[in-house]
Amino acid sequence: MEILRVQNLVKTYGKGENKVKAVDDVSFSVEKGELVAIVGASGSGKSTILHLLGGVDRPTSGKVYIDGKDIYSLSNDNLAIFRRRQIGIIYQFYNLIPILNVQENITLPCDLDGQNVDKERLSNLLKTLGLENRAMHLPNELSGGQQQRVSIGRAMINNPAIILADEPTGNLDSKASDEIVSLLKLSNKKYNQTVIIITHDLEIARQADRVITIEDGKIIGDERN
Amino acid sequence: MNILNKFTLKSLSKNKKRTIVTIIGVALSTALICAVAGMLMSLKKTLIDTEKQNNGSFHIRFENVPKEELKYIENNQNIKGYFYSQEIGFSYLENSQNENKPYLYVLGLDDEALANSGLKLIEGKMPQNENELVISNHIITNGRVEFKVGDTITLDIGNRVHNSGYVLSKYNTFDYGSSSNEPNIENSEKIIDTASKTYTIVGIIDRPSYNTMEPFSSPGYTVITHLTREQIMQGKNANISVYLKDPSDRTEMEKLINTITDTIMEDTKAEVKVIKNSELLRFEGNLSDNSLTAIYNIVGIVIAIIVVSSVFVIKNSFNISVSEKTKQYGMMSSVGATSKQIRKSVLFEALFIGLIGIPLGILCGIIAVVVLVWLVNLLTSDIILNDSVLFLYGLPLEAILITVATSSITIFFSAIIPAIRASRITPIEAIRESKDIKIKAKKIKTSKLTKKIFGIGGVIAAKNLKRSRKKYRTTVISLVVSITIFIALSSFLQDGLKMTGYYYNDYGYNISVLANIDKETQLANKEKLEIYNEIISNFNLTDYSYNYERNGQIDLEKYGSQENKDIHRSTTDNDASDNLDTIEIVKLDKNYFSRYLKELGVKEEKNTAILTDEFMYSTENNPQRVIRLFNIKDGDNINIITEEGEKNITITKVTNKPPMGFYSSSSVGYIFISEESDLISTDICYLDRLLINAEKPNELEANLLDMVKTDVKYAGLSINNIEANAEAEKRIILIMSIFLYGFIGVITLIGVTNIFNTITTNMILRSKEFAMLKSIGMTKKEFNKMIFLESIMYGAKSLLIGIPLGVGLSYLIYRSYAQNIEFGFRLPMMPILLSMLFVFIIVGLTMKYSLGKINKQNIVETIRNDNI
Repeated sequence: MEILRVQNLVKTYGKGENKVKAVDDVSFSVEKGELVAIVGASGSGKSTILHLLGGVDRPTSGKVYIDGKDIYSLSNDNLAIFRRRQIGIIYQFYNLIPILNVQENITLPCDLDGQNVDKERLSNLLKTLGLENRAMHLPNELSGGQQQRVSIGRAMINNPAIILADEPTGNLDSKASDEIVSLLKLSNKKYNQTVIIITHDLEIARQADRVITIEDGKIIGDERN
Repeated sequence: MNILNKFTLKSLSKNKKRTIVTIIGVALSTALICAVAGMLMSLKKTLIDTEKQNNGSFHIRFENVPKEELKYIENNQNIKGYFYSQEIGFSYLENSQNENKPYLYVLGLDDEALANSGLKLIEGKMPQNENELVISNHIITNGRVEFKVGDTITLDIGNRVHNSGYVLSKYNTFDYGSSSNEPNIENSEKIIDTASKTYTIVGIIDRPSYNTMEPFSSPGYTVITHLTREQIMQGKNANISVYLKDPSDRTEMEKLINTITDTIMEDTKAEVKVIKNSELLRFEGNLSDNSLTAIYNIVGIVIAIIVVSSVFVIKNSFNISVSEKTKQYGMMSSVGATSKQIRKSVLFEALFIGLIGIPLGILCGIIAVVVLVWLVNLLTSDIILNDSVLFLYGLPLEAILITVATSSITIFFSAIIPAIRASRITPIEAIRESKDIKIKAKKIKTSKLTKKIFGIGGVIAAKNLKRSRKKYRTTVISLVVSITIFIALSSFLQDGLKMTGYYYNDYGYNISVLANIDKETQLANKEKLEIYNEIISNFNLTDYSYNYERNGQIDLEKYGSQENKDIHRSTTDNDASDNLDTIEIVKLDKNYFSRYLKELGVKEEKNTAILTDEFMYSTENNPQRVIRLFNIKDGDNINIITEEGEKNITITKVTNKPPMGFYSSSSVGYIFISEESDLISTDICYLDRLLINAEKPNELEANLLDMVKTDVKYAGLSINNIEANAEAEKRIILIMSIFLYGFIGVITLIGVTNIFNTITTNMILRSKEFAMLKSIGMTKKEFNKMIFLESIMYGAKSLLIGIPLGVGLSYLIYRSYAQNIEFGFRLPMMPILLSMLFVFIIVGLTMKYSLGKINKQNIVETIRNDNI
């Protein structure tokens, strides 16, 4: 079953001579339950693609379908609502809200949606993430790896259609990196969760079902492991 | 609670200091609005109360209403309350010295009327039955008829009719065709149908209000007795005074009046006289020429200024709060917060701040009103003599509601723009943190000179100011506003103080007494002198003077100075009198004249004559300068034309030091001689005031006023206490100072909250940058110098704009009253220096505060910590 389809996606910055094509006519699709790695050199446009997939940026042209929905046909507010229900994003620098504790950060998408948090799901998630003893801590009381686990939890809380991770291990040592990758793989296997990871770490890419290589905003390789 | 609101509260409590400072800003602005509204209400209440005390506590009186018609008035639904009075009639007042007021006008009031007619008891008590009477003190001071409390009088009371048979009321003046004081002779009117009645005088009241009770032209002095409602119902037509439910509705009131008068006219053909208590109605908003409108307008403008400057300042606080949370809002948005949710969360922040700030502000405002009213009463209690109404507290619910509404609007407008800005933050901007670094190299270019003088620290300081120009603009503007208002208002107040000093300093006396006696000069002089001498001996006065004056004429061609001739040519037409100028001949009392001569160092002889002729002269092109009116030297012989013919006078000395009571600023020359001099006879002169330089002027004034009250002989004395006047003006300026400086103070404080928030936040936001600078080797000293330079730069910038604006504004204020004063415009140096000091203290302290915070931070942690 196709969960994500990208059609002729283009994103340009600047005007005239300064015009830069960050994403240049990219098309691909992802099946439900796939673990996809997008790799490429720094500045190749992979982060831009991820932001476009996550609905936090808008493309110059082209379409993104998530679970059959053309996300850029939505208004900003509806897109925001779509994001909190269907998309989980994990950033390199965690981007947690420093004054909310671990539990609050994780349940943020539910709270924004006005849903009641499923207590059982939350405690399962905290256990899976190894954060059961850290639920009331503030982000600055955690290590980098723990903070990133919080942001994974935040991405997973609403059981989204797709999880997007932008260099999730870029800021972590190798031990913490391994933990994060195993977590993402676990969610992929255990919940049949679709995960797209952006990375330049080939070791991580090798663990994915599929590796898409980007250069100068174009797909130059799409291989299944 | 909603997670976004929780987030907002958590951020507020994390930035506790900034939150508190913002709340203080809101509270101050609310307090200011509340205090202004409260003072306005107090003023209104005071005015209304004064009117009630002076003119009575009712809106309309219908006079001469047949009793069977009273029910139309009593039962009218627009009327809240009523009371009765009744005309009993006129009687002759024997020995009345005022030929226009030969009568007593007897009026009966019911209990409520006695309390609500604006009567002021001076002595004794109010009448309690139909045999008791209070008289107005005007009978004593004006009619010169002596009555005491306890006297009994028998009056023949009747109707006043014209010879044609027409019944006259108190609104018809007395026909004084004959000047006889004896009743009933050759008058065109008389009193008929008299009935005799004996009264006991139980009290003396002030002259009743000329607006509502005894018109100036009334032919009788009002005397008042008590009547019960039943007694009134047994008598003739009644007067009914009514209190309206809504006195501010003018058309409704006119309709009411017309309906009632028409009904009564139709029923009984009686013509009802309608008296409106117009002064009271005016202050209660009824008449179109509402005196309060001007005040309302001013207050409106003041509140508008407060609101605008508060919006400006409070908006800045929200802006800071929002831009600090830019990244977090972006994150919220990336995990799915809608723009509406984010906008609501900023408005929730505003709600929270308002919920604490507004009640706090109202409390402070009420306290301020209480203190101010107390202070005004304290400062005015001993200068406003009798009959003063204390300034009252008036802060009704509506003033508080207005304050709440205004402040809520203020906060809403302050928060809405930052809220919209926050809701427009896109996740991608937050991720990239691009919004805050939209700068171009050109914009922050600094000159090489800066680097040479101040080093790299100075360059970074200057670049930073240019980078965050918008952020600092609010700070600079709020400093500029404070500086401008401070300089302009302080120089205005200083000029005000200087002016009163000018007017009251060199009089040489502090009390003047003038006896008003309407007789031929000779006789009047004699009577006046008698009174003056009694005062002098009664109070053992030593430092006093009085003088006789008479105009004379002097040949302008022969004696006039060039300037004097110029003035004459420009002001008079070319006719014969052109050649003569007026000169005043003043005969000073002999004691004072001797002392005056001693001061001047002149030996006294019988016909010693002193000339003063200096004149402060100014034309449109020429500012003020002193000129002399005549070309006369010591020892000159001059001719003066007087009523008694031409006199030859030898001027002993010319001086620019006039005796007490005379000023060099009048455009007339004076010749001072002794009262014993035979140059002109005293009989043709006019005896002017008695001038006293008393040791205790207030005590003397009180004693003199006592004399006036107790003895009919002194009734016409008018007493002027110069010192008290000067003191009163100084007090009024003091009160104004308290109000104005209070206003400036609070406006400045609101600005200070803004400055504090801007500077500290900016410092914290830049802490990463600072840590970086330190990590690459900037010493603490260099760092402090950089921050110091930054504060100096924008402190200087606000002074550079604020001082010229303030000076300009004070010059404009000076120009508006410059014609009346005798000093030029001077730079308000003191306020300028004070404002410089103030700016650097405020900026320095704030910087120091945030520096302390920054210097405590660990470099590595700050750099690594991304979550600030």
